[in-house]
Amino acid sequence: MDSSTLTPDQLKERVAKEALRGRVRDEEGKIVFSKEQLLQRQAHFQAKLADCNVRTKNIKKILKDIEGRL
Amino acid sequence: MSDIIFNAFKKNIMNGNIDLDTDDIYVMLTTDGFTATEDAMEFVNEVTSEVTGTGYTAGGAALASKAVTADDTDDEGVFDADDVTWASSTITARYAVIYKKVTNTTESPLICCIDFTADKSSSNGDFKIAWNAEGLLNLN
Repeated sequence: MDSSTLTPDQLKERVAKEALRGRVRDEEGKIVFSKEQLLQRQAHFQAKLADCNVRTKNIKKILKDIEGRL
Repeated sequence: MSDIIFNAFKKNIMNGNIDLDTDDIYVMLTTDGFTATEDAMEFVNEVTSEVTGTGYTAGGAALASKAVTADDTDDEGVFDADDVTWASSTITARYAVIYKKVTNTTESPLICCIDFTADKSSSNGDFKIAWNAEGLLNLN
């Protein structure tokens, strides 16, 4: 939606709906993360980084299995 | 045409080929000449009628502050990101196509297509997409 078409009431409604879901945006429409949310994101991406190693190991195992079946 | 989620995306999200908050996710704009079909399109090279104009670069813009959360009120997964603005632009668009960008357009998988329901234009000004309060994309 082009933001220029949003009426003040629609903008107000959007802010209220997002607030109900724990989300906040600044005036430019950028998401504002709370400190708690930032800590959650940090933990989330650190876990993903660790998971990359497990995935790589699993993919190598699957490829080896495929090679064995070819 | 209304908003659609490409079937290929549903497959790709299930097998881990797309990671919404980690991959490079882009939004590109098309004119009303584009017709999205959920079951016959998979990659960006299949998208036609991309807009051209001042302030717009082919391929679109990267999404920032990508976040995936669970909405326990509506029982759905929510993908959201910062609103996107093409500043000082002169463009007219009808659809926004969201996709994962990899090196080649032939390998960049489509995610969804958002219908503005009418042409939206900017004339040497901001063309801004304000994502829905429910988020950019919901899976339920």
